[in-house]
Amino acid sequence: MPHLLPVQVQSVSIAIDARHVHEIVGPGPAVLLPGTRAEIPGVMAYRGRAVGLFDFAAVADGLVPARDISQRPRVLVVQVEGSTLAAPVDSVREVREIAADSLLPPRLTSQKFATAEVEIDGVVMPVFDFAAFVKSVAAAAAAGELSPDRATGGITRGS
Amino acid sequence: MITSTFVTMERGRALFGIHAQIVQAVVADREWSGADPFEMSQALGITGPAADSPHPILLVGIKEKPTPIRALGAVVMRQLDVSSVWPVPHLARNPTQRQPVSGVAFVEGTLPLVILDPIVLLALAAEHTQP
Repeated sequence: MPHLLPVQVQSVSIAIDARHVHEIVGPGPAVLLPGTRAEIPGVMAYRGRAVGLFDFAAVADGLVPARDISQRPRVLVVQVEGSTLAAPVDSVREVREIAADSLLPPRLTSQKFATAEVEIDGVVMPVFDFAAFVKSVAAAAAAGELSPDRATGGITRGS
Repeated sequence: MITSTFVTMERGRALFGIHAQIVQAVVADREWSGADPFEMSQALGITGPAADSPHPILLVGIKEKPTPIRALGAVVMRQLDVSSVWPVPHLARNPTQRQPVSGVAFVEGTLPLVILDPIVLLALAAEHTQP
């Protein structure tokens, strides 16, 4: 049976596969960067390196992108597909064990990279699939790397 | 400890820095008489410097033919332990857009430092000056 971690971002509840959540920490030093994708607008310091800062507002309907998402009180450190992301949220509830047949195709919720929705404590919420998101980003990055001119304007580091 | 020196500018809640080794000179804008400088703010997609703030011209690139780039504001030289500079993770890069950022440094007691990639910066400046 899947274990889901319900979290809240602004007024929206989202469930996450608990296996992907490595750690829950407080807000750490972070900075927004220019030229990033909307879903990962910056980086946060985590254990001696910079990890991508994930913004749920870029993938879920009903969320307003915050000016400084790094100041949300809790940060999920997500490890999936060999990548680490820091996902700031407003609150985290306890992990729930969910019967597999309670996971339904999304009908009431609308969220990119949500493969299912589930009802927890009377609230229907999307189940966000971090693995699908990371795979999508990696595929897009690989496609971009095939076009070096687009990446550096034709100038390469070796030249 | 190995250190590097960066020419840094404060903007919002971050410092933006470029390696001092590639900056040939810093010229006050009132003393600049060369070609129109490329706006660094344009490369970063942020608003330009306020008219009443100091925004010197950085001469960036090779000594014989440096590219004038207008700084984001007053510049301060900062020396950093190179081990404190971390690369931007792959996931945070946008393959559809040239990202003028090569790394970040979080140093206690100061704003986060965003290290600019001079190669991308010069490429964008070259595009800007092409007729």
